[in-house]
Amino acid sequence: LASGSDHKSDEIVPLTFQNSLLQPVKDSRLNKEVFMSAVTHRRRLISAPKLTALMLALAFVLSNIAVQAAAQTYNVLHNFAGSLDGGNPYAGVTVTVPAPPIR
Amino acid sequence: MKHSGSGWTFEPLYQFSYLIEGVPKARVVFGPQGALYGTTQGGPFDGGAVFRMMPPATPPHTALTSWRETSLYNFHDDALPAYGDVIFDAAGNLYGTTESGGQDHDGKVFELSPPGNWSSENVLYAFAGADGAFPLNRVVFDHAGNLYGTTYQGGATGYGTVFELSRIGLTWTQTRLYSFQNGTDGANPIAGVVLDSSGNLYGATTGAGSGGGGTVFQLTPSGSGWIFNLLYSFSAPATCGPWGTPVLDNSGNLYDTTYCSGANHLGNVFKLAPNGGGGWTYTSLHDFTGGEGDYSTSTVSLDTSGNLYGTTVYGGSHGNGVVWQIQP
Repeated sequence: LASGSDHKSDEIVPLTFQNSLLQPVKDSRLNKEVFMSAVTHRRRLISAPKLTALMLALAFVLSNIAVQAAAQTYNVLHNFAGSLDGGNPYAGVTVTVPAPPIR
Repeated sequence: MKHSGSGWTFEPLYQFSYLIEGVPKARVVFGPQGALYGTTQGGPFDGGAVFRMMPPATPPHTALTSWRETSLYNFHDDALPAYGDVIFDAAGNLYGTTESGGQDHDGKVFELSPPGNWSSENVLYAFAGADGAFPLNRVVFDHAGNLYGTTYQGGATGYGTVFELSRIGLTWTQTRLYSFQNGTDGANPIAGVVLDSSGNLYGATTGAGSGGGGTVFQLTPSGSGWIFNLLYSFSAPATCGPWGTPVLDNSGNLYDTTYCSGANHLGNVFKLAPNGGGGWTYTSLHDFTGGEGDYSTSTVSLDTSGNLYGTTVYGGSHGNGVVWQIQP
């Protein structure tokens, strides 16, 4: 991914980004992301076991249990194993309208 | 995922193949007929696709094979839908963006119309560079039927734009509302924009700004155009700013995630609250540390209890990302 300047003035930039899919890859040594070219990315998509088994499970159905926390709490609802459950989600989740609380 | 008893259960609905359907990078959304709609990259022509998933006729809707996937449209060019949700108008027409494709391969805004024309793409606008290039996220309607979005590059200086598409009859006209300068205003927006009830636009950039790591901004309509207001600048490397489109709650607070900003430079979830004096107060709701997730490209979803939901690309117990919740 080439950030910034006029892509029309640089032959490399549009080729890099235009087909790049904007794929971030975390470099654990540098602790930063790098962006791969189109060819590299597509090859990786096809060969990467995690992504060939990408799963769709992003629809939420919330229960009718009203939860009130005394303080702000962070919870992990699911850890992706990178197998049949998929992995490395770029997208957020869609929350369905919850049922009204039980009275 | 479904709240069950004291926990949550994860139930895959469908498994995608890169070469057959492509793989989704954008969120799925509910649309006509109670179906889920989304986009993929890859697929039979390698240009991505728009798909629909229909639930089974009778509950339960949970078995892996019980949701039926249909590719509504396969892009034949190098279109590649990116991170944006698809949206619908009142007539059920579907709208989205692609990061590439179009006459100049600079991306486009497209429309697909039901019921029989899913396979016919109507290109509302194809970008050419000076007007913007590479829209990576969704477009959104205002009450008048105009569409708003962002491009990652292009515009007056090449650092991206905020644009409007307005319809007169069957013709859509593009207006460049703002071109990023790569200064304190930010650069290279990946996120789309969200509208408030007053017609103000809110969005985010991934880079530049006073801290180098992107900005959150507001565009306010005025008689002479649109006024840019900076709400916050992230101190982080370029591309660390928000990738997901910000969301507004009923009180006018903004929520979003960052890719690699926050206290640990592993991303965070944040809130920007209007302080009544024209300014905004920034609060980091959670700074990712790795073990519970890191590097988020997710938009934030809210439920009616004020809980926030999202994902991370990496981190968690397996390093493959997590689904998270923040309870207020």
